[in-house]
Amino acid sequence: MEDYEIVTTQDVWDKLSAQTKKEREEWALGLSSAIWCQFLCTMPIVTTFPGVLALEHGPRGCMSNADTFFLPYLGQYWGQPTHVPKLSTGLGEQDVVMGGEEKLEEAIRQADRQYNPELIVVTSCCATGIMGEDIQGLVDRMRGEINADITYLESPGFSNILMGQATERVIRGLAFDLMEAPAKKNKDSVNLLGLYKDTYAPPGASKAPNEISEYGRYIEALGLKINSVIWGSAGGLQHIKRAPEAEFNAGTCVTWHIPLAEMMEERFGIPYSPHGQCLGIEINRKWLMAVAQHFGREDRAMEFFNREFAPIRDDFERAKELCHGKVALLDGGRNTMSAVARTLMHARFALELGMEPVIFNLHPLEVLAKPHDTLYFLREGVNSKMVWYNYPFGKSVNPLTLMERLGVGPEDCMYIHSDIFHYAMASGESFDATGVFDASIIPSINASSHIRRCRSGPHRTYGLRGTHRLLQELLEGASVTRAGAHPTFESRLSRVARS
Amino acid sequence: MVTTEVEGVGPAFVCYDDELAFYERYELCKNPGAIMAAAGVRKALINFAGAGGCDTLARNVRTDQSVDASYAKICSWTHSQDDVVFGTGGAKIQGALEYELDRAKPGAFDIGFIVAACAPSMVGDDIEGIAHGLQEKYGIPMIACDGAGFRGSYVDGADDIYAQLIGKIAKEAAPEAGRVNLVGPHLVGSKNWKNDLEEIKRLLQALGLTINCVLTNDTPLSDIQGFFRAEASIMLSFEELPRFKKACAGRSTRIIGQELLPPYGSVNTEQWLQAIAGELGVEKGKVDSLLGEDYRRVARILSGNYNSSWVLQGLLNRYAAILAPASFGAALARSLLYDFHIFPKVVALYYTSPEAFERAKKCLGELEGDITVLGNPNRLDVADLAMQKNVDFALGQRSDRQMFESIGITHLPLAFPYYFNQFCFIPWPYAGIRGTLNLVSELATLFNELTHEKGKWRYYPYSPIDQKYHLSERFIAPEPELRTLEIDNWPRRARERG
Repeated sequence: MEDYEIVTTQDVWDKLSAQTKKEREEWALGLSSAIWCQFLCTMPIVTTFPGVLALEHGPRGCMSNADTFFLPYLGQYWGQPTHVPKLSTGLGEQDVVMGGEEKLEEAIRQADRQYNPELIVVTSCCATGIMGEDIQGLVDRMRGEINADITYLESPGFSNILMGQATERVIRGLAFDLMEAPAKKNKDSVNLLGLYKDTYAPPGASKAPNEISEYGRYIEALGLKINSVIWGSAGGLQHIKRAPEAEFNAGTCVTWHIPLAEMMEERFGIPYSPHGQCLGIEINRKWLMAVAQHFGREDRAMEFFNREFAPIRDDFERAKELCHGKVALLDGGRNTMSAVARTLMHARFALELGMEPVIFNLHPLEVLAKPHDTLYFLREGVNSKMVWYNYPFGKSVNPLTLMERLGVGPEDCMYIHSDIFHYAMASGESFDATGVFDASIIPSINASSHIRRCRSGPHRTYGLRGTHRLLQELLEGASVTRAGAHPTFESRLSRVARS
Repeated sequence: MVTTEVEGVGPAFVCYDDELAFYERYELCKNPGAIMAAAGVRKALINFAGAGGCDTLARNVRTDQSVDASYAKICSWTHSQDDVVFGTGGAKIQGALEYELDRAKPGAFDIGFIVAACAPSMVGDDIEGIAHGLQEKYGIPMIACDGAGFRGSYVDGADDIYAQLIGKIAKEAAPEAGRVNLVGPHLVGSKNWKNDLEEIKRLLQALGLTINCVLTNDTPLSDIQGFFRAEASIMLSFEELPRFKKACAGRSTRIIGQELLPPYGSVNTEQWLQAIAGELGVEKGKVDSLLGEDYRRVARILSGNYNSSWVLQGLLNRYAAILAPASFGAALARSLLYDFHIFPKVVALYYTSPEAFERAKKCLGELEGDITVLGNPNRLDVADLAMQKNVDFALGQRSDRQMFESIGITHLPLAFPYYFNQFCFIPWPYAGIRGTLNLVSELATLFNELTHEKGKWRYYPYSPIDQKYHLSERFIAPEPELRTLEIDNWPRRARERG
């Protein structure tokens, strides 16, 4: 039986904030995805922009690592232009010993001539981080010597920084530092910040809407214009450069939007909305009003909100009735892309539906790693119950033992999970042979973003349309369990594997 | 900058030498190759030592080995900046392994591996010393591999592990006639390599041969111990594997098969099987009989089949591009031409050892027609050449799919190594005569993708609102059009191509 406590999100924040880095490392056996890899945090953003060339200074494997799954994944499911030139200086043993700066300089010149990009983004990796190559110095010397603009993002994988710091480094290097002082201001315009792992493309190009479609409708309903979308727009670099021309910053994802919005407010004086992860009714109202209040269009906002909410009111009320008093088991996922923001978003939604959220399989370090996210949700009153456990070497918490500890049964719960390995792990420690924890018994929703792509709403369930889609899934999931439907294929396989 | 050889009327061979200061191709480095090889040993415990991003790759890439086989446990303790500066990484490596070994049931693990990535390699974490100490403490062999990315490629990683397995585990033995080893199944380059391996085993067993040891796939330690009981080791890929060969030097087990195209497609399968059988003294009649049986089986399905005829006729005389590891890519090229009369206009082969490209050149030298074979090219150059040659479709790798599709060239990824890559769960090979059923099925998928005009369907959408069929001059999006968002700065290449 796993040895863990059930505390609150605030407790987790306080406990970890009080620890030293050394104490954290010793406690978090094996560490977690909260400390991942700066290079892999950087590459998805670099390959968002058409016209950009990525040049990794290091062994070939780092760029190919990004290209093994992560970048094709972003390209395939979200249409990110990850097929921009992605180069590597391909350092070998000789280079590691003798130095690779000359090779990098030549690579920059050749890449500039051959591909004629707008911007070259040079990154480092573990090897060049240890070698101490003066990449920044080289990039500064070459700026102006080549046709392309050029910038450097320090990205050794072992950089001992929490995930939130890794994202901030990328935000600063690939957005804020590329912005220019505005030559003009675009009246009645709003930037949408924080679109990560998705793109906005022209009408007809996409199979499924994303949050830009949703928030874009909100902005246009207020009679405002979208100035820039960062990231994820075909406008790419132009959108970043002209972003300071907007009057207001609104966001989609707190992780990616708040740090940038704060930087832009400090430098350009652009106010911003603090809200993001808009799953739920009240948060959508707040998001709209935060934008509307800046432009004095509150009436228009409420009119739009009421009109949009009317068709989903019934489903919302039914869901509240269904969920009232239940426990929302929020499984944070054990893979490297687990997201504290998404889990806390579900916790907020669970509270709105009258449920008690309990978060597990979210490493506490994730809470500390993304302070913008955690503190935002705490300010929103989302102080969810959470498992305090060090998940040694990736060991996960069994939801059945959690239910026992909470004193609840399947009829008392909803289950929202972000992991994608349920089938592979069906015979593993997390699932039982009795098949209790099955979608036919406990209403289950998978919150992984690429899995949720559908026609009726943004995949991250943002906006009223996204909320409505999730409400419908909860209601339908519950009706399946009430009907006593057959165990899912997953459950049958699990039983066979264990027998 | 690029050397070109044109030999007679055969293909033009273009080798991208190292005068370019950058690489723009997909090539995994040493540690995932080592992990894949290690994960193929049954009851292995693997410690990955390095940063989190490489750990993710290690964990996921080895999952291919676990399908229908044993699941190699990976334990890792992410290396941090403090470990790099203060040298505390070694304690983490040891700690991670001890954590698993102390909690393991007796007999859970037969062997342990430590695979180090760039950071622990450069700071000199003593993986050999740790391995030695743990071996003494727990009584299981422990192998340490410096898998730093700058020390080589995916192939080098496998080579290192194979060599160490042979050097440290394999015992002296007298070779026995009719026993063969299979080396490097996941170095060939097919994403269906697991099923291909099973088919190769079946073919050899049907000829009366015994599979002695596979390096590596669900390979028990006892098989590796008996490695030299084999009469011959069949190298499945063109890659040289110098460390492995050095470990085998001086032993009576011969190394064969390396000059042969792997058995993909009927013409290559016949050639491969006959050559291998010839090397091992198998009677030709047996080979003919086996081939005949497999041909009959396939013919029962495909002969007279209007659907397969539809597809194969539809692909006749098409122009193809291929991007794949050298062995698989070369085999595909020859099969496309001789089996299906599809012209492989651009063949991009990726390899580690120069010998691999030489072997590919030798095998493809007989092909006639306007064919350009590129050695380790940059992918964007392949795309440019494919455009120039009016290629209809590309058979490639997952990482180049988007590039090709974005310029209107239909793409089907058949190559490896990736993870979340193989989504056909029907255990059927690409290799062998029987594998042609799968290859033809893949070509059928490709044919549909190539010919179905999805874009036009959306141009003429059905409008359910008033039940009338509308012809529309514009695309209709599933979501409202955002009028205020200007789509400017379209990708330059797209603009240039109009």
